[in-house]
Amino acid sequence: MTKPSEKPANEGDFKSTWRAFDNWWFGHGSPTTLGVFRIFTGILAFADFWLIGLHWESWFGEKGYVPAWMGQMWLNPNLKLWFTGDATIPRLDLLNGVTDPRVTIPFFIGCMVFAVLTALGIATRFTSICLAIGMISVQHRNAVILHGGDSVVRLACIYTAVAPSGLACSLDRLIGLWKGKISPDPVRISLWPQRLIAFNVALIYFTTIWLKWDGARWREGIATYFPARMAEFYRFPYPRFVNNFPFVYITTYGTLLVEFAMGTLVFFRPLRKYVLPMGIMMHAWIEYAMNIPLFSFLMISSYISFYDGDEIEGWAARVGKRLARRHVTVRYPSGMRLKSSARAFLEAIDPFHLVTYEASASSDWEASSASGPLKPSRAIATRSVGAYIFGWLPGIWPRILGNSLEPAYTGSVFPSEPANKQKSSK
Amino acid sequence: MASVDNTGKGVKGEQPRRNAPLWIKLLLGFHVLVITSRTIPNAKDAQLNGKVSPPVFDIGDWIRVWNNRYLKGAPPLEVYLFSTGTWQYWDMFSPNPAYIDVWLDTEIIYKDGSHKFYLYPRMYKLPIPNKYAQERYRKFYERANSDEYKFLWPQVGLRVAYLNDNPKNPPMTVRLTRHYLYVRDPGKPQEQEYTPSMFFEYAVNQRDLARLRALP
Repeated sequence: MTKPSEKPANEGDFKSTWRAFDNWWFGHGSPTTLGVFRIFTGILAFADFWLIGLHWESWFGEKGYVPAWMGQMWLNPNLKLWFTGDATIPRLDLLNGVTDPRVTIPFFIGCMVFAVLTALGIATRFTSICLAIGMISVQHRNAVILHGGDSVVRLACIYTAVAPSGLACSLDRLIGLWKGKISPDPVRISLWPQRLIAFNVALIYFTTIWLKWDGARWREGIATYFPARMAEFYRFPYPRFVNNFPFVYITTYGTLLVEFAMGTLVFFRPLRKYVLPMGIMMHAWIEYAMNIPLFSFLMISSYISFYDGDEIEGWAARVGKRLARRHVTVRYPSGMRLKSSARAFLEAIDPFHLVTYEASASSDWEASSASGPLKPSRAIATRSVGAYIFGWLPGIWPRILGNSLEPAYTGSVFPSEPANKQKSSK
Repeated sequence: MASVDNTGKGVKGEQPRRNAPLWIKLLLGFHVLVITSRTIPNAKDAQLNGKVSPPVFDIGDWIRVWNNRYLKGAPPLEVYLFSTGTWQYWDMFSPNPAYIDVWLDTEIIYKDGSHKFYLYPRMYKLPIPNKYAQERYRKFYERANSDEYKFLWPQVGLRVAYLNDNPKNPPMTVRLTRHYLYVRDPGKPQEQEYTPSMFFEYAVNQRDLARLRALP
């Protein structure tokens, strides 16, 4: 007879497997990956809008190829809402039926603005939701011209909007740290949005190769022979042998291998470092040889979701260590110290840890590197990657440096002796 | 644990008992199920119609048939996908890559009988920097060329008529011609010339054209 405390071995295995599965999908970790993914998404969404917007009238104007009524017709407006009845599926499309360019053009420009704000991480939750709604609406307004890359960027916008993507690598965080409204302690979040992105990326490859396996030309190893001979896809020139045998076999079976690995093996950490570079090489070749706008950039940027935020932070720290010649020590005036909020801010804009802050013997800010003394503001601005987006604003550095300090505590640790509240030398 | 929170405000506290609320887990599970079902390749027609059974040991084909029959087209799933914009299907260069190179040109015949050819920004003719921004024309004309999307043809005709309009001598007819070239299998003689085929003649609706002229 089994005692109540003794569980069958396989039950324990199931529980531990389930726990591991639950931890992978929902466990806590750094939001840095989502922050980086948000930046990529914002930039590429902007580029996507911009490229389509160059020919706005053709694609969204009533005088164009796809007026509003045709855009609706393309979407199959008769899809049933339920098994019975005549009601049809509503689509998220703020441009549905809108034919006035005085509305559609500002809407389009607004989407581009939200893309920039999302990339910068300003009011991130609001701007990323607006970007996602804008992207969905624009793609639902004219789906005739969409390719696979458009689906990728739309999904990236949606996932960015539902994720807490403003918690890292964002102006929201920097402003919060500067104002002391956010604790400098590391933030940990449930990683399900990042896992969802990774899953969806793998799903793209897995289902694509599944479908390719139906194709005789893929199985025979001759598939890449054909697109290379389509004049409409030509882009940059390359040597002829690349599109002849036996190289065609290599590129065809190589594509199948890479896509299979990206759909499955990429989740195994020991193999990830081989699989992802193979995926990057495949897309780099597609980007070079074929004219499919932004597709490769979108796919490659989504690979970041296979790395945990801690890994990215660790990578940045290691790169920073290798850049020893770029290291700089910035000294603040004697008798002063950095406010904790300012220290958190300055450290947050410097992911490579190239700048070290310490007290000076002099009464002014100083900076020095291995090559000699530097101007403090310049030393910080050029080495802190996070400052690149605002560091060029006139007058910003005197304000940042001036407001970073508070008098150092110089009193005795014994309660009977009052602290000497030294005045700021500012 | 130093701080565990989703607010970014770094509130110190203990590790939550659950990794995520139950409703998030359920919603995520539903989403994963729906997008997986949507992206699983469609079953072969013969298998789907029951004329042929999938091979006994081909689990993939059985999954595809089952998915097509019971899950993929179910209205609740489609409502979720299409209303939220999470729809997706991945078929780049598959099951086989395209092997017909196609481009279109248009001939406009004016009221006085004169005629003119108009070519959209065709990728092959464009300089490399322009290709990136104008690739949508290739995608559009690739679809507009297909018989499956015949309903696009009159609008293409109208747009071309508008782009080549002359109110004193209005366009009366627009002819759409596809030029196609089959890329033959390796080792077989390759075609060198595109074959032209006029596939649609649009009698320009003068009222529609006038309406376009009046638009801002």
